[in-house]
Amino acid sequence: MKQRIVARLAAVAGAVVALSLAAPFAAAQGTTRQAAIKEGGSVVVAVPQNPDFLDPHLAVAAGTEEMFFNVFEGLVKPDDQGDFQPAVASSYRIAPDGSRYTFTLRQGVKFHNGRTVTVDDVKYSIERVAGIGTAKPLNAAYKNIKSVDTPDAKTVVINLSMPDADFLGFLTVAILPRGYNDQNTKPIGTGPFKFVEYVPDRHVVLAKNPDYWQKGIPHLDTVEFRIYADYNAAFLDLKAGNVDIFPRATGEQVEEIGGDYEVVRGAMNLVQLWALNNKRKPFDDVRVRRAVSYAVDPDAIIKAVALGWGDRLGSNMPKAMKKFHADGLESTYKPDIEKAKALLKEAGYPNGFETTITVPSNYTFHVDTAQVLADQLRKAGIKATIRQVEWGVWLDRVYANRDYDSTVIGLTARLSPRDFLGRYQSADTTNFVNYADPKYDETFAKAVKELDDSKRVAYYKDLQKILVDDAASVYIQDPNLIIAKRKTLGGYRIYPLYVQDMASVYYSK
Amino acid sequence: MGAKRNPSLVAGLAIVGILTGVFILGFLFTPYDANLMDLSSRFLSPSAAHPFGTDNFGRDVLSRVMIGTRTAFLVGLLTVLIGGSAGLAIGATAGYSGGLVDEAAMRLMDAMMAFPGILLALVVVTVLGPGTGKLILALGLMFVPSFARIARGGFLQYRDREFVLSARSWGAGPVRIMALHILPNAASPMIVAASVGFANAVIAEASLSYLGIGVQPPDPSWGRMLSESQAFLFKAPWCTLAPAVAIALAVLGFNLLGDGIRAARKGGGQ
Repeated sequence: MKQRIVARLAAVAGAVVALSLAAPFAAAQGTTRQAAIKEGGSVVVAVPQNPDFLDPHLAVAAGTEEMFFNVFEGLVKPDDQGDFQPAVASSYRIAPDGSRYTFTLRQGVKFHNGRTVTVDDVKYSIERVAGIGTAKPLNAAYKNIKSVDTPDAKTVVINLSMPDADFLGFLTVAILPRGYNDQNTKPIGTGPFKFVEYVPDRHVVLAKNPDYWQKGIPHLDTVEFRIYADYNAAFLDLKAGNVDIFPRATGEQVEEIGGDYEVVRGAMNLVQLWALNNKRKPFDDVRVRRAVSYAVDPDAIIKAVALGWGDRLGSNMPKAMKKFHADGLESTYKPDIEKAKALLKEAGYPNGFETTITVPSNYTFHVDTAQVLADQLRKAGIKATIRQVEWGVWLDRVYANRDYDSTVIGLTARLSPRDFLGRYQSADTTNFVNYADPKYDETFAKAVKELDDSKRVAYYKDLQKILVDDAASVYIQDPNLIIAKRKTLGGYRIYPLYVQDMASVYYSK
Repeated sequence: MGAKRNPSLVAGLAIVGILTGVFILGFLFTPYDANLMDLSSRFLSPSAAHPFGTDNFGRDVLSRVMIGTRTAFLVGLLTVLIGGSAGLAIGATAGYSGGLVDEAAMRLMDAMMAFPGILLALVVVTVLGPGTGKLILALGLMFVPSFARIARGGFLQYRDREFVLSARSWGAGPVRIMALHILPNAASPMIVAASVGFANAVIAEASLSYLGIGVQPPDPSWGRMLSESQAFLFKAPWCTLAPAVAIALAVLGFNLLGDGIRAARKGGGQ
């Protein structure tokens, strides 16, 4: 789990540099241009990194999922609203106590090699990722799966060791053909596109799956994810007309996008924060953390760094998580230098203090944010020195070893409130801000176990309030995902996830 | 040695002179606080109030280039000083002593040279952490071998000359001979090397800061300004042009100066 989240964090932080995600834009466009769909054609999508593994059970980088979302499907798959839709399964039932998930297999779903998906393939896939009958789970998040039963040819029952009402999101894991051993070189899935080739540092090419179970899609014949180590070069390629979809435009680039291209934007489902090490002086004092919360003006940061293309956040929960988002928390600490100074004085720092902000040097977005932060803190008498470190050093020193005063980073998670809030439990391995509050731990434990939906939502909202009251960190924004795409392309959907869904994309006539 | 006979020297002196003026001025005065953000005046194109325009945070680019000059010159000077003195000491000892000492010292220098300079600096900065002081140390280290080679050549050339032998016969110790008798004669190539080394140090500082491991934000450095402004190269070209021109001028100036000194020394010897 830790590894996976680190990787997602990596990719998402990367996305922030140039940016990545989620809005109802696609729905509107889909209907208005529905009549003018032209079947066929190919698109080039600019991406900033190579896939880490082609085998979806081994891949941990979000940048890999971005591409291979089109190739693999789970029993369920996420949609652009953040819900889960049946995919390889046609329906599912969750036992009231959350300990058992029962799926009915969709009839006639075929792998890209032409073979029909059976319950044995599902059992094989889930057991493989959960490590049942093998040495260890390929992904630690799945170790909660106790067993997989197949009572008949179209039913799969997944039993959990610990009841978990939020486990459905994990069952988006790819269903793979049993007994196929070339998954990491020639991956085979059930998705709308088939894998054609991968040339490192050049591209990943996908082709239409004509046997896709969902009729009418995909529309495109081929999709090329072109890999650009230098993403600025990708933008120049876009301007030269060689790229059709550019998923990570920056605020500055928006003004240069025109002609054959248009801009689509949405929320990114990411929490950019000024993370404070709660175990380091002076941030171990809640009064200091509150003081800096008053000293920082996130709206000015959004304006300066994202050119306004970001949504203000109050806690560790993006607004795209509508159901679980506690509204109004962003006004808890209204920028107020005098209040900040008063709190600092109370905490024993009448003349402010000196601290450092360690930022990953490859993420201009975070480095810029740190610059604005330092400027704002100066007004409250706090001298913040920025220290840029290489991304690998950041992951090791800051994230894994928690050896830092403060940092600026973007956090993402699966579409589950548990994933967003879990990292603040005192004993959580990803609790890199060293936040510790017994009440928080207790509430979190209750939230996970609670099966009543409205009570559960209430617990999650309480958790966000606790975080903000304690000023666990300074929450800044959910930067917008800004996508530049060719005007003739329709049906583009922005997901509250790090994926490029090419199945619904088409050229209009 | 007029302008006609040595245009490199004149042009080099002129450019270096102007930059030195900016460097000194940077300590006393800048039009604005180079780190002061003013979000209401971002991306202003060059005007009377902001001759070089403003950047994405509304900071005055001229002030930042001036402070950047200060940084570049300080790094250049100290780097040449560290690299030059250490290089001189090693090279002089090696050249004057000859034999095993020479062999050992120069093979060590070869080993250092074989290691790509930027990589060496990267390693130092990764171990010690980023910052201007450590950057100077890293660059200084990187420059030791080239100075050592040049110094060794000079000392090797003069160590068996009559005036050295005569000084030795008078009972002068090796340090005295090296410092008083040989150094003045071998200094000329060192001065040329220092001038060219300064230009290289400016480039190296800009490169490392561009990579994010040199001067730390928000403090300006030419390299940092380049890396920050590349994202809006087309929108606000002045943010990129100003530091780029400054780097080009500094490198050109010090290289011309080096050429000029070399030419002048040659001319003087005829």
